[in-house]
Amino acid sequence: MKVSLNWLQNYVKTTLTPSELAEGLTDLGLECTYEKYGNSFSNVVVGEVTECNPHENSDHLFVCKVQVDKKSSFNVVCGAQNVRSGILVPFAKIGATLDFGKFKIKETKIRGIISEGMICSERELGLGDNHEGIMILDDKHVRGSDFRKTMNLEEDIIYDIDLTPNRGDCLGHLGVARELAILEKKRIEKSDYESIEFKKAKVKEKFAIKISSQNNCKRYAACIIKGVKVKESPPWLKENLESIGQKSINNIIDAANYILMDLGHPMHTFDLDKIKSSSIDVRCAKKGEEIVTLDGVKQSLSTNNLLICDGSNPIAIAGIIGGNNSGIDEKTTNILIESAYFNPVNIRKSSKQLGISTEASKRFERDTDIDILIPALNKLCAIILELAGGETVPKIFDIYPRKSTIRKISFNIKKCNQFLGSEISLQSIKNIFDSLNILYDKKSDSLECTIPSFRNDLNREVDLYEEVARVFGYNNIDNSSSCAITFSSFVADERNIDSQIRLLLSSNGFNEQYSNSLLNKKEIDIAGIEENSIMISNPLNKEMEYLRNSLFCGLMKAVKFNENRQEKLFKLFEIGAIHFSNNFTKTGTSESFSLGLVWYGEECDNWSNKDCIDFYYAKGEVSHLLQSIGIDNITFKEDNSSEGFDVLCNIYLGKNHLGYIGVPNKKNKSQFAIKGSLLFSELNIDSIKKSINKKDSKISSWNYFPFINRDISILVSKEVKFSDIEKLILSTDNTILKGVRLFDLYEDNKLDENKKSMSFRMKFQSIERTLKDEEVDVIINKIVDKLKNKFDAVQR
Amino acid sequence: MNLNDKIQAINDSFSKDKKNFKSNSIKFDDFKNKYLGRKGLLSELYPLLNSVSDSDKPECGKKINSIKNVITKEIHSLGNNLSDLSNNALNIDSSMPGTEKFSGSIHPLTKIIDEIKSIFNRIGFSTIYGPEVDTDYYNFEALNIPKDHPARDMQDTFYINKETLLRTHTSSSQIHFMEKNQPPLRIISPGRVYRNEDISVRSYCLFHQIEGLYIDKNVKFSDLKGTLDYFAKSLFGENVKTRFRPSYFPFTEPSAEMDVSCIFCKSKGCNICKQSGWIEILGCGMVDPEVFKFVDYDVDIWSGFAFGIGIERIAMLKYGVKDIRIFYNGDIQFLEQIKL
Ligand SMILES: [Zn+2]
Repeated sequence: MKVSLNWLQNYVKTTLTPSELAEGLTDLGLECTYEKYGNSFSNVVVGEVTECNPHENSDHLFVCKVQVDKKSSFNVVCGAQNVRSGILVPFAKIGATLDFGKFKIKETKIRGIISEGMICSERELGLGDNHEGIMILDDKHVRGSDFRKTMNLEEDIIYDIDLTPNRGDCLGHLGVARELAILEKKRIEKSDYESIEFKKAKVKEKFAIKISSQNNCKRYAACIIKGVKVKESPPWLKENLESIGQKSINNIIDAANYILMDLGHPMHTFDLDKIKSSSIDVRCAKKGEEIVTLDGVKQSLSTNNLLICDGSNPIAIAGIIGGNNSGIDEKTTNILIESAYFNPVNIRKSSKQLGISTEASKRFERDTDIDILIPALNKLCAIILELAGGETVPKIFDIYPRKSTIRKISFNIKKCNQFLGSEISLQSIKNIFDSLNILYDKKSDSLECTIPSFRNDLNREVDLYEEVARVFGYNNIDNSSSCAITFSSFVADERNIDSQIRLLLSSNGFNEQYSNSLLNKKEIDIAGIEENSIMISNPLNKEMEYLRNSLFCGLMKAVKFNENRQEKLFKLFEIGAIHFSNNFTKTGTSESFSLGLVWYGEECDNWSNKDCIDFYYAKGEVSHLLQSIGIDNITFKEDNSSEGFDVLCNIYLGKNHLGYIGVPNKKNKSQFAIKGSLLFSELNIDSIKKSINKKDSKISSWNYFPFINRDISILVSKEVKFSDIEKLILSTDNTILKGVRLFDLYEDNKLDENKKSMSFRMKFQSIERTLKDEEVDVIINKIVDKLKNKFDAVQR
Repeated sequence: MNLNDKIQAINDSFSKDKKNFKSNSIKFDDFKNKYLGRKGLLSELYPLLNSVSDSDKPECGKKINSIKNVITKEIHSLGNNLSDLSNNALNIDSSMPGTEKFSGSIHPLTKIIDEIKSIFNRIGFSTIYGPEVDTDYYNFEALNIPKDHPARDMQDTFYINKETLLRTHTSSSQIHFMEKNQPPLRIISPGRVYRNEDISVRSYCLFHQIEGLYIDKNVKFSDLKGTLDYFAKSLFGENVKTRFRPSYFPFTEPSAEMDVSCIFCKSKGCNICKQSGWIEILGCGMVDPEVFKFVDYDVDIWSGFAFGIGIERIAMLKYGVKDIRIFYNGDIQFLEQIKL
């Protein structure tokens, strides 16, 4: 919200600089910035140059005498070439400021001669871009007079306040002025807006007001002015509104708008002659009722919308916007002014539902001051009478069936200090309450506080603690310097595994990425099963309608991004939540944590490393990762049914499905316009976590006997699977055969195009003794025999 | 040629080549390949086993293994001693690049989350987690933000349906945790949150937060200030100052915003701090008694504070990132710059 400093000063005079004021309001909780509006200087007067001589130590400077009044003249060093004796100039005395306080005029010495002020150029005064020389003034100006006044320059500072929703009371200059008064340690005189005298009126008017919906309208006041003349607003009003970004329309509407911005209280003006049957009813809409609002839009109403109605039809949506059947126009002569208090929840609901947000609705939905209705009405009437003429009907309507109770809160100073960790004295607390217009009675160890009607946000004792803290100053409360830990409150980090995986992968050459969790329909279909996906009912756009059910799309988009940047070889991973719908949780959704991996490129292109980035490479890395965090013995099972992948293997630990690894096919890649070759794997971190062997892995005896390695090479049909051979070899012995590795694979058409040569290395070891070659030979022979019988393998 | 002859021939040849190698008339690699290479002399031995009778096979196999072992050992030891023999044979250009590795990295947002976690873990805060998809109750209602409350305007929410939504802040984790645990408690909860806001340089439809909550007997506003001041100094350096400004969150009372003195201009005023000398870092406050009522904590016994830290904001400051979107597009040129 925008407020004008000049406007604020109608209530409280301030000597704070604009930035001090902004900081002060910010410290009170009204975060704000400010902008210059009008002039940027202070303390500049009209001076007369009475002498002008060249500077003895410079060829371009002058030493002048500037006469301000009979008694005082100043020595000034000036560099402008148009300075001469006998002219009137804007003169910044010592202590004057330029550029909104950033530049302060001090006594200085320029090339050995003291200068006691500055003769200003247009640009230095922020009045134009002219910097050719100093400004020379007409003779009509009077020596010594205030430069701003004599030039008729209005200046102002506009504060833009980022108001929190609880401070509806500050949605007007009066409210902000109350905060300014706290900074200035002054009081606002209530008479400024409460006791306005009217011209004695003679006219009479028969009119009736009824509140049918008392839940939504606790109080409704109104008055009538007859014989107004609608015209353009005077300059002061236009300027005031323009300075805070409001458009001028006509004198009546501007006046109401002015009070809205002034007191923060929205009032509505009706053309009295358009209100049929001279009566108003405040009621909820009937089913199917409609209204065309001031902006020409037809609104269909529902039964919880509160309306202002005449004898038959709605003439305004209460607290939100008027109807175009009752508005002020150029021909209007008689007006009815409404000043009401509406239920904030009702206004907010209607405003949301109808999609209309106005200056009025913004204030009503944050709750307004029920006691300001009549003073506001008085103030508006006074202005309209002044601007538009006319006479008021003596009777002011004020329908207020159930008077609001006065809010009282008991405040315990000891508890307050305990809560804040402060030592604020009783006297300071009283001063704080005074500055907040909170009345108090001392009752044993507490204060019985009466809350002013404009502070609807203060309802509990703790709310007063906050008031005390903010006026006392958050930064004046000391920081605690220690905190005691309760051991029993520790909880283990259930996602610790993520950190381990991240460390392993990043040191293994994977870059971690984060991707958007929101995907479009096509992407969700690629990645998973659509029935289980979760749709956003109010998406930002069609591209982000679903919650991801896999990390696949995010990683593919990252691959595309980097492929476009001509990256040839990289590895990426992401850890994040994926989501599925279900019918057994409260939200109807479940979330699991997933690890996605991507290998992009064909082979390493280093002079000393030409590793091929193929299925085996990726499989090796997945196996290594899982081994490193404590999962051995995983199995890979080919899944031929999957669309979208040339090769796809599911990864299991026993019967536990951990995830999959695969080579996306051309069609799949083309959906992301990816051209290069890549591999993808996705692992379910929750399953991985469950699979980690929790038993402390014991280190096998350090006192072991030496092991023996034996190699055999066989020629076997290409059809035979490694895992079958491995299983067979391991089944041969379970005492000293500790493992088997494939260390060479060789396929050559010269050899036999249907066969492959495989070389295995077996490791033999006993925990009881040193092995003899003979006993190993026996097993090797057995193995060779078995391979021969089962797979028709030939030893080479 | 039978097996024994062949073995003898290889032995003879090897003795000769050893001399040649020592006199530099044969290069090490050629020497090695001649015997140990895929098609080296030793590889010719195994096929000859086929011509041996089955009863002799073990004996012959042993012989082959033995000569293979001897030659392999010798060649390797010669290779190990290369530098002693001759610098010419070593033939190394130490300025050549070493074997390249993929350059891995941890995401900047992970780095910040980890750093903040460890700062709070040091003073006894445990790390807990809450769901990204949650109910209106946990995200709003139990945090004292009833329906039709103007505070709902502070956050544009993605809804799945009327009651289910994507959490707009990690504060919802507080409620989940408090429902299941009794005070005293001290937790932080990092995670992804969503806002229905247009994507721009400064905002994205999702971002990350760390929520903090500390409840015990006699927790004071000054404890909140002290704890968060410790946090700011740990993260930005001992010389930063903190400033607390009144603010508003429905689930805390009093509420505050914490600023740190600008680390870029040392509080003199710059573009990043908009000339103010201060940078807003987090929102915090004393837990509102209304929140305690929702989780059945006795407001007369317990008090506490809560805070919420925006991770992206801090990462942007720490890494000098100007466009928030760069965190989510997987650009490896950006990611690679973040070092462990
Ligand atoms: Zn700065």
